[in-house]
Amino acid sequence: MKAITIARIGIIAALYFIITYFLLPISFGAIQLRVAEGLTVLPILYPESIAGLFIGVLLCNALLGGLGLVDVVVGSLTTLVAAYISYRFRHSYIAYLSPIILNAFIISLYLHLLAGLPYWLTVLSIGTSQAIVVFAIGYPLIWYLRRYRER
Amino acid sequence: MLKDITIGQYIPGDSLIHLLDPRTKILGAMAFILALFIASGPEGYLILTLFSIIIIILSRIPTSFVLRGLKPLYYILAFTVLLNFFLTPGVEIWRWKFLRLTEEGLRQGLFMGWRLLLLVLTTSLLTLTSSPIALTDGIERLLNPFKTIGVPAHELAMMMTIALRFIPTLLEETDKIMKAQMARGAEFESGNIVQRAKGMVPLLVPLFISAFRRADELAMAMEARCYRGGEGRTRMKQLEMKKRDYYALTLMGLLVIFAIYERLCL
Repeated sequence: MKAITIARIGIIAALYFIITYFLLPISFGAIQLRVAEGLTVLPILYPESIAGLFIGVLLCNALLGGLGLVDVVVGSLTTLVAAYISYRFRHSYIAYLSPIILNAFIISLYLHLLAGLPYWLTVLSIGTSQAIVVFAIGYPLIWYLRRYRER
Repeated sequence: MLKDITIGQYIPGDSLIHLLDPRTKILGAMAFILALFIASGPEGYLILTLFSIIIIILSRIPTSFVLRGLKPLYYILAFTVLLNFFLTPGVEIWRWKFLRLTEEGLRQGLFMGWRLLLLVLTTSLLTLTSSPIALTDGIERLLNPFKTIGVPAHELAMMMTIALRFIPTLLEETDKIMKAQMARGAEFESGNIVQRAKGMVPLLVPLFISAFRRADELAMAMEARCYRGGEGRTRMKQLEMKKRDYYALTLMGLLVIFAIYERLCL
């Protein structure tokens, strides 16, 4: 692995972490608006961000609280898979949908199993907040960054 | 607002739990979660609760710190307990309009709440008693055997270290950009949820571009110092498994076996 790849992945992880840190009060639990989740669409432009997001989520869930080890392992693996799908389908709308759908269904599953929250209500709540973040932040972010890269 | 940041919740100390190898602590936390999910009755939970209390006392972390870790959880905990109280069907014991409290609900709610509490309290000791760098080291060593199937253990640990190192730097940068954009009239704290989310874009775009520039500089610095991956790299502080680590792991193994026994036989 090249030094530039390692450096970029590390920095993207740090970015995810600080953006989550900024908005910690509304970042955890069943009703969450994690602004950092807007970064989940980054693999569309930068393949390095697949691993970057994975490590970012891992560090956040491990160091900032949340639900302990289950959240750390399953939560970050969900992000990894979602980011990979976004990358594979980077030319279509599936790229934007994969972080919304995967998070809504998988995070709710373990919140349901761990905390006994009602499954479909949690799916709805996480799905809505992910959709807001991805379309209000992720979409414009990609648009601007693409313009910046083409310059 | 960004002045005094502490990353993670590490509290330095020299208690028995602090001195354990990070690998032992990671594996131990996993074993505890496993036991928590296998155990199903009051006997199992009694033992697991006692176990939690003992290791919290052994870690000599002030109780207020341990409880502070629960803060982000208050809401979800209350939600869990109440929803289980009122939504579980069964023998009714109390009723107010459409709310029905059932015997099964009461039991289920308390059980779920207690399990969540134990889970978070005990696994949070992992980050309370080991520094982020020690944990990264531990993860690298634990992943080493998986190198043969292509898990990049060293690179993963390196990326985590870089991320941890750059968190304060990027935080400062974010603060600067935020102030600069506010001076130009950007709004970060008003409007409804969608408008607020949209308001983050003028912060994220410059932040991202400057972060990428920083990554390029870092890569150049690494190459200038002949960084070439984990092969043949030595380290100043070697992790070493001691006798106490093996004792601790044996104890955790016994806890899991007890949980299985409790599930099957009690």
